[in-house]
Amino acid sequence: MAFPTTSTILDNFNRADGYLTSPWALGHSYLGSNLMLISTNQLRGSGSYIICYWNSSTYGANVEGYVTVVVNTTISNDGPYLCARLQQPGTGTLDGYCVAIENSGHSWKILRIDNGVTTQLGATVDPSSASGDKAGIEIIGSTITAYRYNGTSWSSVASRSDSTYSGTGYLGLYGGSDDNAYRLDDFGGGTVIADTGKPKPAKLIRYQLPVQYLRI
Amino acid sequence: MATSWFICPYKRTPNTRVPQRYCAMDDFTPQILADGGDWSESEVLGGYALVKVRASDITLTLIAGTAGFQRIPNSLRLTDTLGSLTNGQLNAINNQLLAMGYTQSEITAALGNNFKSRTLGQVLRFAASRRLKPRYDTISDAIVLDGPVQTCKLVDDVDSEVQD
Repeated sequence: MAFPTTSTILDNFNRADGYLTSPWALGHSYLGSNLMLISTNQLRGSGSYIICYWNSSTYGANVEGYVTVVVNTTISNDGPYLCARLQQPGTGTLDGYCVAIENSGHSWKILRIDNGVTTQLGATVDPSSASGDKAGIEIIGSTITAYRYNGTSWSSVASRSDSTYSGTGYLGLYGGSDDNAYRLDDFGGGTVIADTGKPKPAKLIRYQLPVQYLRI
Repeated sequence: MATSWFICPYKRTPNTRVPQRYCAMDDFTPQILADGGDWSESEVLGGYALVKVRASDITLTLIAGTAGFQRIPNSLRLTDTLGSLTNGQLNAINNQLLAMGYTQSEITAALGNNFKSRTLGQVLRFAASRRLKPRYDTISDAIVLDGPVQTCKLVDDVDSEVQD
């Protein structure tokens, strides 16, 4: 199935500068209380270290999310993250999955969140993504896949399997503040639209019977 | 190239505000990929991972020589018995299971008193019986593994993800 199956931009951040407000909400705070910051119609770190989540709806169980990484972060281990299947947000026991896009696009990681602690699943991958590329996350069953859009097409960066968390959840973003030069835009996603597998309409095939079978 | 199973720890990711851990095998990802190889893991009890690696003999030897990494000898496959291992090597595996947090009673009940007749698959599947959910302790700045029991990724899935 091609990624993504949806095209819904949930937030393009085209409004006055300031901290994110409803329907964004605090998913998990590592330091501080301010959600991420809108600056010139794009999103950046706010000085806090918080996973923000889109509180308008839950999605899934099969879910996809995407965001434009307008400017890559240059540092290695402080996000940003694009997150999905987030569960128990705002309780101190946040669970879910994220794709981290770090180190100037040279370090992508798939993470599992347990009580706010993140565990990297498998190897760090280097897709050499450039500023301006989009990042995507898709969770189908127990398969978590990171995608990259390079300006022309989407391609899979890495896939990991993890069955710890299933069911519906929220989409979200994490933005650390060790590097406030990064910028995100056009956050979107939704429940994966399944291929219905409906049979294709039958083709009408015309046969020309041999003459000997024609009755006149 | 060859494949081999390892038991290795998780490490704390440095320089991140988010409490984060990673399988220590990732420290060797550049060398493994340079070999044209691959690796996959199952997180198990005690902050350990069962890891199958496909890489050059040089890289596998390098990994095996790193503190904290235990290589399962003889490049055994899951269907191979441990009969070719020495008593010292078998004791090392037993001790690793104890270090994970399994009791000797659990080990003996599942695998018997002598592993020689057991397959590697039986031993690794036992090691992947369970793990505990992590949490972060702000006072000690430590990731603590003492939460509810969680299931481990199937050893057979790890095995199939890294082709011989």
